[in-house]
Amino acid sequence: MSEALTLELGNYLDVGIDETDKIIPREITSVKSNKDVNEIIEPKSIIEINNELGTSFVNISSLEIPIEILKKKTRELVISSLADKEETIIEERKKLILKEYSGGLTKNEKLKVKYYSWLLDRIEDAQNGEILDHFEKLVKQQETIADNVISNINMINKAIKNIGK
Amino acid sequence: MYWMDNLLVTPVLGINYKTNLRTAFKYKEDIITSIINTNGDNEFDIKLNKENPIAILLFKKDGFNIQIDQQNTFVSYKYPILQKRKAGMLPIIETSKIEKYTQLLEEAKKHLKYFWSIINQNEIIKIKRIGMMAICNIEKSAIPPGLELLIEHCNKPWNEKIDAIDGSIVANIRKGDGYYEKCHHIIKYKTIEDENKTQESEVIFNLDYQRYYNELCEIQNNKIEENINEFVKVSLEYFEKFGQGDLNYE
Repeated sequence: MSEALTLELGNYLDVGIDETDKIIPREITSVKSNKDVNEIIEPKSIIEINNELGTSFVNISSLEIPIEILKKKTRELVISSLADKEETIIEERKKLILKEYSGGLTKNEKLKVKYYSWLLDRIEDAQNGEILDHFEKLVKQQETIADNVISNINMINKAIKNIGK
Repeated sequence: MYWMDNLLVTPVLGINYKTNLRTAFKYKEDIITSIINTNGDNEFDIKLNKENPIAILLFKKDGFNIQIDQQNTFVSYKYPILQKRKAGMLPIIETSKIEKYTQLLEEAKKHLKYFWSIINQNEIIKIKRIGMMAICNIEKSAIPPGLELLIEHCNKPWNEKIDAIDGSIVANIRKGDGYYEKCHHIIKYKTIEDENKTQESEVIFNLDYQRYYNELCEIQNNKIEENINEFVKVSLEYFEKFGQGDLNYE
């Protein structure tokens, strides 16, 4: 088993991720597995969760892969399968683009250009996607802060007006 | 360089057949005996179904599941989510290393051949159809060019872009000697952005290639490998063709 990624249970139970990407398993007071279920499911995949709302059961085998993990795992896969082929793909694509300007491309060649571009996008995403995602998150945070500030200013202005009345 | 090898894609490979209860009970016993004899390192977890006494579900530790009953034998793969427990702490959940679709498919073929040879050893089972799936966990920005072309094609009847696609297209792909083949394209895709961009940016996209035999077909054990290999090759060719957009969209 690879140590590729480790997550605490909280994320899978939709408990949430805070600003620093740390999983906060709040609301769960105890978790234990329960094998005595009458369905066909993977053994040891049912867990019992006790919190202030009572007891509930979650089948972790049916849980979908969260998008953050999906991205990370796909990037790992692309790095392992395509990183050493990048030069070849660039060359092949370049040849076809030059051909397009000299005499046009057949339908199949046009599809190849699209396909090579898609592969190069995958490689770029695998190499730089994580940093770009991080920047995107920062921008969103800034936007949320800006929205909050504007909303607070409006509230204050409204309050001032009301005092004036 | 299959497009599926660059995305998180998992296989399902299976055979659908016609049998009788007597035969089914016999091969169930054979499979359990075989697992007990070879399962020295507890490679498999065995699960039986209360409602269907013939059904056996085998969970391999590496993520492969084999389901066998009186109508189907199929091998599927799901990345195992494992719990690590430490006293006084919440469990830690781990996922395994990601493998290429074609690598997982090779393993699935091995499992299917192995269990089919046990099922088929006493009496030749009559096959109705063989199927292979590619279950794609794709993020919206990574959809292959072929799927993008299909979505563009679906836009054509309307002036404005469609908001979402949710359904299945079953296409007749080709006819062979004594069989015909279809592919189910299962797509759930939203073109509009959700306000809460979390899990919604994922796309559900599965390809399910099926070979239907015109008449019930008997495949001897020494021929099953050849048949499965040939079927997998044909299915992969179609998946690749679809993913690269090499269909007639004009």
